Amino acid sequence: MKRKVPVWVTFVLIFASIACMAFGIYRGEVDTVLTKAINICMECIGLG
Amino acid sequence: MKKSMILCAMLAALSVSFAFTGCGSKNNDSKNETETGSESGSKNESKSENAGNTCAYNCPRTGFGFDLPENVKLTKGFLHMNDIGDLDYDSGVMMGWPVYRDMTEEEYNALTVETIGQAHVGEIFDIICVKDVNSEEEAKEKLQAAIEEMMGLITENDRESVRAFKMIHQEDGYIWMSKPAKRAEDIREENKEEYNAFYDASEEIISNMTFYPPQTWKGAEEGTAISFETVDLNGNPVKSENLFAQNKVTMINIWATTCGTCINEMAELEEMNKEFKEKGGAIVGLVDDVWVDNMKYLDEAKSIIEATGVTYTNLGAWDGYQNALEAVGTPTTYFVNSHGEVIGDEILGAHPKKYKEKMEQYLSEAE
Amino acid sequence: MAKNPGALRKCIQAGWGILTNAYVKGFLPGGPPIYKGPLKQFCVPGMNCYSCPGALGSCPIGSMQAVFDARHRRFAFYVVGYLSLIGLIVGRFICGWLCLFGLIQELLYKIPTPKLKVPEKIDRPLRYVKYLMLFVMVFALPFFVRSAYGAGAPFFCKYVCPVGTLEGGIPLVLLNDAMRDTLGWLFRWKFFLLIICVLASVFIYRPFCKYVCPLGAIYGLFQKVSLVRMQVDENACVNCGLCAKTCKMNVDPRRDPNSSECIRCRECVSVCPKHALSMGIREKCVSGNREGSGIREEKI
Repeated sequence: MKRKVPVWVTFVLIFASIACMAFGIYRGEVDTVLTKAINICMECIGLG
Repeated sequence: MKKSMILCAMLAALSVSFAFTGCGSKNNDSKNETETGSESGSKNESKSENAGNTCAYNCPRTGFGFDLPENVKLTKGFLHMNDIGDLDYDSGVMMGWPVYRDMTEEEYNALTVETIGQAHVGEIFDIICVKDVNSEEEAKEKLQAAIEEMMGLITENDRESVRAFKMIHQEDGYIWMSKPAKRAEDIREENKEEYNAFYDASEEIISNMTFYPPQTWKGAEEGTAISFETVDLNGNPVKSENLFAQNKVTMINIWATTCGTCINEMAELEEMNKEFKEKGGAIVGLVDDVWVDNMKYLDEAKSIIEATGVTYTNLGAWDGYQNALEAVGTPTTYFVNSHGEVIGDEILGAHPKKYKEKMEQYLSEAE
Repeated sequence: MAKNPGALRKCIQAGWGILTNAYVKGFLPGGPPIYKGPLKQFCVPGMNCYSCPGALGSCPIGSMQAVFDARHRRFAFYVVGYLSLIGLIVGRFICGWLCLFGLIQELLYKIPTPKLKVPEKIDRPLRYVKYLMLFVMVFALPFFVRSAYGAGAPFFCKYVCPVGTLEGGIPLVLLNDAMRDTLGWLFRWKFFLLIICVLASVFIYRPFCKYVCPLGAIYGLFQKVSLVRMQVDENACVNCGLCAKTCKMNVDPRRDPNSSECIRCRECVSVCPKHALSMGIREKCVSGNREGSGIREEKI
């Protein structure tokens, strides 16, 4: 089975996703994730 | 083939019926601890007789009460009981202490955020109650562990503080300890005598103290008295006694800036508040993620209030507020009478119709 | 090869499921309802509701919707970056080995009943519903739709996700009386969906994973480029078709070993009589044939 996509593409994408994560962290998204996770999201569990 | 089909049909019928009955039997066992610390089935156990409740000054969440000795009269200042209760959600270590304020209650209530600096406080002792221990050593160990757990580290200062505690009472697996506080130096001249008399009477007060099992409640049970001090979203200090005394029934609606369900009901609540005002009731909001000491989301809260047109007071959350007003999720709504006692059960979720129903019921009962 | 590789996988699934939901205090009546500590800054890689009393981490799908929140409309770089990273490394391996809800469906499938074979004509198009869920319910609606007061809503979590009902809704309702009185039509709807999912799982293997899961959809997108991947040794393969027959996700490893539907459970690997299939790392020359007869090295 020949690979259609060269490996370097994977590595470039890996780098991009790490950069993505870093940007998200820098923007303070982690705080949003934490806050939403610790206040029971009534909507999430379907209790409206 | 047939057997499994029947099995499936049964399974399906069973589960569908569950979905549509919506069981709602109210059971308060798990929430309240009684005098013996075990679960009970009766709803009003929190109102059970405690000898301590007859004392002039109480810290129910730390389990002690005292009266002032004959020679100590507080006329120029007053005592505020700082009843923290459990240091963490359920550490089993409770703390409470009296605080002398060097002005009269009226004067104190008249203070604003700008002038609050005029009041000075003087402490005399700290009381710790530790649950489920049998010796002073064990109690101190547990206290130290609780501090470390909460703060993430323990300093030499903390260790010293822990060592300074002495056991004053032991009963039912609880141990109470006390430690003298530093005598305050910056009390107003005219109050110094009173404060010093109070401070010097520490030993006497402690030896005549009454002890009872600390009241712990997760989620205010009917009849529990709530008392707190916080700020509203404009920075003005709010004392619960003043807040509740203004209305026959106060509806406390706990919400969070991340909670869409809460935001969507707020405009309706504003309308309801106008109606309630005419009948002697009021709605007060409590923002779960705007803290008195961390107003990170204050702007968020304010923009939500603007967008929904809310004009009623919104309070910031204070440390440990969930001990008094538990909110498992938001929105959670409590009803409190003019004495600060919780009426009825809390309502979880956005149910404006229910709020109205209950509010009108409580308002008419409060006549 | 282990004697029973399937058992190892179940153990890992179960172990991980317990580990990520190990907040015992949350299950004790009278205790804190859920874990509220710093670990929830991190998302678990599989589907696991953060409102589960025991959950120690956040749900990536729920977190995404929280960041998208129409009040602020922020793209969820942190979570999407994280999921992409995982997808790029292992693809849907997470689904097969580290997802508690996947395990639950598998256990339900073990109940001895005759099993339903979904005809291809229905099965194939239905697989695309996951992407609909992902782009519409997880992204577009939470990102764009604002209520009259500007509030957003986590559409997937709120209206669809059975994982939340099972792991969050039901335990919380059982442990907290206040919750019981708040149950309304939404809970009935979610409960109904959960029942459908549970029943379907008895007759169909992992129906949620196949047709609904937005997380599986995301990981699936990276399957063909992930570092860890399935490989077919073309020399060893005799085209017996046993792998395709065994695959419960209806993947044919001969034709598409890195299909976006493959959850990398390795059942095909263990069943292949010629050891032609393997899961390995890209770049590496992985020979399936251990006897070593004429293996041609694969060039990039």
